[in-house]
Amino acid sequence: VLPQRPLFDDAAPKNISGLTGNAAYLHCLVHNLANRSVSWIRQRDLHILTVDRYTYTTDQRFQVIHSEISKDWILKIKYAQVRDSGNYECQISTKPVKSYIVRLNIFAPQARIV
Amino acid sequence: AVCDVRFSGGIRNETVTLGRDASLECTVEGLGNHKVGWIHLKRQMIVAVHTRMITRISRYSVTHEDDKTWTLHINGVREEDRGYYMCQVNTKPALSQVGYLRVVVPPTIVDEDSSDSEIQVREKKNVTLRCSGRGRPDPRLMWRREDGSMIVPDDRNPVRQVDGEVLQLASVSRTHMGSYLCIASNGVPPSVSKRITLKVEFPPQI
Repeated sequence: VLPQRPLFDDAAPKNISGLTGNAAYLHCLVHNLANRSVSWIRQRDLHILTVDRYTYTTDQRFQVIHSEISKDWILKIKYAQVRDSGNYECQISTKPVKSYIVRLNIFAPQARIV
Repeated sequence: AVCDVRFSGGIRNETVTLGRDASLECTVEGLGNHKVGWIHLKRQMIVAVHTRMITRISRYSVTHEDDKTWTLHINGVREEDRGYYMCQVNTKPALSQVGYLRVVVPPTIVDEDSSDSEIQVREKKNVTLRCSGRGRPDPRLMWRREDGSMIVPDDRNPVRQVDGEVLQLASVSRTHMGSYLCIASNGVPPSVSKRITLKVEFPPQI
């Protein structure tokens, strides 16, 4: 029997939009993970954000949410800012690595006097 | 809080021969509770975070001395290991620097793309000897005669050595007979050679 290879579930949205000041949630659904790692990386500067359930970045707005019974590895960005916009990569430590890219767009709310 | 973490030197680039071991050093001062991570840029692969290996490629490992010198080791380097490696510290904002691992490969001669090791040709015919080399960097190819005598590509112009993949001999005579060596070298030892023996057929004489 061949070992099952991990794979991403395309049901996770690849485009997330939000407003500044709110929390943004980036989803990454992984099947057959076994003992491999799931990491989140910010592509702009290749900053490692989280590895499994450990938060590597010391920017405390970032956090990974995952429960044992879930396939979802959610990157939560608190108080999202316009500068957080960009691509985020969910990476599985296979050989070679597998990546799922999520685009985040954060907009500043615009007030308009009618 | 003011962050006093800094790199105390750049990562020294390294050149390594295929199959050997390589290591890249990232030197940090004032690390404190911060962690050092390694990323291979071309594969965009997280290699390690602190002493924990993230990649499942077992050839990689990390050691450190006094939280100052963080060394990424690669055992039995392969071609795909070449490229830039980023050393990253999880300060806010993050600190990072990169170093390059160059992987060199000694030359080989590709038999399938080269002439047979024995060639027969009729007198007065033209003949082309071919030799194909592989390696990194690309090997330089040259032709010499095994016995050290001159190569005579055409009537006029005998030479000690011919450079390139192809050796063309015009209107061969029996003086062209013998063994030719194609030598491939790229600065990474050992150089290799292939012997091609040329036999010239001529009508019997009395």
